[in-house]
Parts: sequence; C-alpha cells; structure tokens
Amino acid sequence: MTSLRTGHLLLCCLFALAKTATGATFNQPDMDRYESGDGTVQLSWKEELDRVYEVRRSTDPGFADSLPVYEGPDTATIVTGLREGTYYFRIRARHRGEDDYGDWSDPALVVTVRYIDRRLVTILMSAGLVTFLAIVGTIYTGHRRTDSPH
Amino acid sequence: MHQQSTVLDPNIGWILLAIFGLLWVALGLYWGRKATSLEGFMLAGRNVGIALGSATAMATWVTSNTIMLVPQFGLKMGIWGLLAYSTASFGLFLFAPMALRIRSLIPNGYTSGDFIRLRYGRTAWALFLLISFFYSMAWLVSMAMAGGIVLEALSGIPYQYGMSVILLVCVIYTLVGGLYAVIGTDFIQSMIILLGVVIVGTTALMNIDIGPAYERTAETQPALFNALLPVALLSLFNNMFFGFGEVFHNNVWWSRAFAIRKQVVGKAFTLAGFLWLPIPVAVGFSAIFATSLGINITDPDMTGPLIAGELLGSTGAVILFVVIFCSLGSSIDSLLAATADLLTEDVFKKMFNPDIGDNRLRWYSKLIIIGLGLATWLICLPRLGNLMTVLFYAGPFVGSAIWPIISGLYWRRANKYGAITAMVSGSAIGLYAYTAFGWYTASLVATIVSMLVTIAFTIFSSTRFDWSLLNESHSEEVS
Repeated sequence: MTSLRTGHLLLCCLFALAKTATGATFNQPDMDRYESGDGTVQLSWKEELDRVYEVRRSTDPGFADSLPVYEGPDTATIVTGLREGTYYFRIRARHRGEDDYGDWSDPALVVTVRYIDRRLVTILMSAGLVTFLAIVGTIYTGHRRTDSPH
Repeated sequence: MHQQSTVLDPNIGWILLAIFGLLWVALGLYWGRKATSLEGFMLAGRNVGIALGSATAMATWVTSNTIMLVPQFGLKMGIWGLLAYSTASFGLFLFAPMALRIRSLIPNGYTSGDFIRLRYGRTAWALFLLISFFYSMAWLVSMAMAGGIVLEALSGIPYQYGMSVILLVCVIYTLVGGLYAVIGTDFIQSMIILLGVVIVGTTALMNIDIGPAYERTAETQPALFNALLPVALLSLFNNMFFGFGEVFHNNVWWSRAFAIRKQVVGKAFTLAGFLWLPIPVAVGFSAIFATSLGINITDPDMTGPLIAGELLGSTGAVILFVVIFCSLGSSIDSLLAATADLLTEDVFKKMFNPDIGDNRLRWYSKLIIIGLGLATWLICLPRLGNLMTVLFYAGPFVGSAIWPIISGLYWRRANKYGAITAMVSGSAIGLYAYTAFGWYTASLVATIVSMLVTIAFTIFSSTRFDWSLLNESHSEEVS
C-alpha cells in the first residue's frame, strides 16, 4: 500500500535469485500486490556480470501484443504514462556477446494502475480554484487599499 | 548505481568543480569587503537595485530542484507536469505587492520571524520558526543531495564527494561575504543559468524529431497526453500552493524584500517571475519523449542528467553541469544566509540575548552558517529517499503558512488564534493527505484547510490590529 500511496513503485529487494545461468527476475518479493496511483512503475533487477537484459510489458497475461520496455546492460528502468488497468512485466537476460537469451521470468510481474478517485479530484480541484482566487483577491484588494498610489 | 556509464570523465568533473568553486569563493571574498556592518552582512545595506534584485530573486528560485525535478514532472506527467511546475513563478508575481506592503509596515525589519512575532505573538512565532526551519532544512538537504546526484550521474564522481565539495564551497563564500556576496554571485549565476537553459532547450529541440517522437510516446505512454490525468491536474494546484508557501513565508524572500530598495522591490520580483516562468518548460520538455527516444531512466532523480547526456553529448553534459552548479550555488548560499539570519535574529537575539552587540551577533551568525552546513552534510551523507519525497514532505507545512501571512499583512481582524490553528491544522491534515492520497495533494489540502480556518477565525474576531506595532523601532521610540 505504501507504493500506491507514494504514487509509484519502488521494487527493491536485495535477495532476487537467478533461476538459470542467464535467468533474471525483478527485485520484488511478491508478484501480485503492487499498485501504482500515478501510472508510473519503477523496476529494478539484480546485476550480474556481463549481462544484457530485455524487459517487455503487456496488458495480456499471455504476452500477446507485448511492447518492449528496455534492452541493455542497466539494472533498472522507469515506465511512465500508463493508463488505468492491469499490466504484466517480464524480464530475461543473456551473456554479453551471445545472441541467445535465457528464459523469461515466470510468473510475470503484475502491476495494477489505479488513479486517485475522480470525485475526490473534482472536489480538490474546485476547492483549489476557490483558494487560488481567494489568495489573489486578498493580495490584490489589500494592495489596492493600502499600497497602491491610486 | 543502476546506470552503467557516465557521459563525462571524472577528471573533467573535478576540474569544473575546482574552477567554479574557486570562482565563487573569490567573488565571495571580493564582495564580502563591503559587509562591514551587521546590516551590510545580513541585508546588503538595504540598497539593492532592480538589476541585482531581480537577478537574485530569479537565480534563487532556479534551484537545483528546478533543474532536477522538472524533467521528472515531464517524464511522469507530460506537458501538464511542466505547466504545474511553471506555476511556481506565480509566487514571485504575488510576492511583488506583498514586498511593498512588508517594506511599508516593517521598514526596519530583518526577518519574516519579526513579522510573525509582532503580528501574532510568541506562540505563533515559535510555531512559525519550527515550520520555517524544517522547510529550510528540507530545501537545503534536497539541494545538496541534488548536487551529489548530478555529479555522480554526469561524471561518476562519488555522491558523497560531490555533495560535500558543493556544500563546502557554498558555506565558505556565504561565510566570508554575507548577503553582498550572495546577491553578487547570484547575478553572475543568473546570467549563466539563463544562457545555459537557452542552449540546453534549443539543442534538445533540434535533436528531437517531434512528429515520430510524439506518435511513439502517445502509443506507449498515452497518459502523458491525457488532459485529465488526475495526478497532473492535482499537481497544478499542489505545486502552485507549495510555491506560494515557500515564497510567502521563507526568510530567503523576506530578506530580499528588506534588501532591495523600496522603490523597485515590486518590479524586481515581477521581473524575476517573468524570467523564471519559461524555464521549467525549456528544461523539461525533452523528458516527455525520453522513453520514445530510447533513453533509459534508471532512477527518477537521474532523469535530467541522463537526458542531457544522451541528447547533447559531453558538451551538453558540461553545460548542464555548470547550470546546476550555478543553480545550486545561488540557492544554497541564499538559504544558508537567510536561515542563519532567522536563527541569529529571532532565536539567538530575540529569545535569549536581546542586549547582544552587532559584532558579536555577526560572529554568531557565521557560526550558525557553519552549523547549518554541517547539519545538512550529515543528513545528506546516507542519501535517504529521493528528491521529490524529501522536498514535498515539507509541502503541508509551508502551505499552512500562506494564510497566516497574507491575512496578517492585509486584515486587521486576523488574530493569533486563527494563525496558530491554521498552521497546526493545515500541517496535520496536509500530512495526512500526503500519506493517504499522495504527495500531489499535500500542499493543496494544507492550504485549503488553512484558508478555511483563517477565514472562520477572522469572521468571529474582535481584534483590530494596530499596524504601527509592526514598526518595532518606532514602537520603541514611542514607548
């Protein structure tokens, strides 16, 4: 819930284990519970010597129509601009200089993007507008009454 | 560090650090010769003109957070994020008439604490000092952290070393020069910042093929172009009120209101607002397309440096390095000086030792600057949290101070009970909103609550404040 409340995920567990010689998994202990409140997902995975990683995402658990997220040697990435919904992420690795990747991480990382309640947004936006106008009005009328040469 | 390579060689980073560090210290020593009195050291003789005044306000407001956080706003919230950040300039626009009012009411004042103490009494004053000190430390820590992070991202200089050197340089030249040195260096730094931002923005624009980049971003990150993205909409007001709270309450801005000549103080803040307004868009728009351009962002705090390095190469990295070093210097020095003034004048002199002489007070002011630098360094050393969480945690506190300040300046009926309740309830409920809904609601909720409480207490108030009580020297003469 902390991740949901702060608006993004920080998936940082130091105990991720490689499944195979070129296997890779996300640094995250539980694959089912993560939610994002702002459409941002922060992923990281354990660094291993001379590896290249590939991360893909999909809205389908079977990864039909998946999209590339990252391919390269870094061990973290940030995905932003996601609409509300459920997303699946998976990762695999290969030795640098080789062509064949290891297996995809299984199970996939499941992330649910759920924005803040729209009714609450409307209420806060309306109150914010009133507050803004009140601040400007107070300073403007105060200035006219006290400091303005007019 | 998740990122595997840096754009600049560490030796280049150290050379840049040495050149600009020595330059700021030398300028601090040069301008510091003018600071022969306490008033000169704290308020630059109350005689700063429009050019230096607007430059110091603009440069101080272009903090490392502007350079480092704006790209994060673009990356996470798209164009709305950049516009949300730009609303921080409204704080400068609105502070322009407030600065005139402040100079009229408290012509001999030193700090924002002076105003709260004389207007609302000692309890509200103590609470205000707590809020202001907490916010100032959050700002200082976030900037020193940003310095270490950017040096590490661009040149591979370890975070602890980069952060320590930047902090040390700022402490030294603030120490030797006081507000004269702060304002003087701010002028040069503002010119470098403006030039650097124009170069970075223009070069980034030329290197991005907007059409394909937009199409790819719209396909893979559709929410970035959603005009009704809740987090972005809420950030608009949240960021605006955070900016209002920062400018209205903090002694960084009040010390400038006292230091700039009264005839030009309003114009100086207005001009600074106009100079600042386009900076977030220029700095951050390329971040919207970062993913579609194949730039991998490994850490939110690295967004700006990574994009500049990828898009602009080593030249861009050097320019960004210099711009951030200038923005760090112009803000850390201002904050060190203003917070030291607040602690020296309000806590040390007014609370504990009213009869202390100016020379001794100036000596204590320097000790406080060193202490603040040391405390900031110790907090930054373990690199806890990211920039956004560190900074926005202070949002509810400063948001809750907006209404006690403006009602205290303009409404005779505003009273201490309303001010205290507004600050306490606004901070508490704003903090709750931070944890319950997210950082993008905290300042917004705190300001709304603070407004409702202030208005309620004012409506039922029997207070009719005598404005002449704010002119402390006048009151003393009369008595």
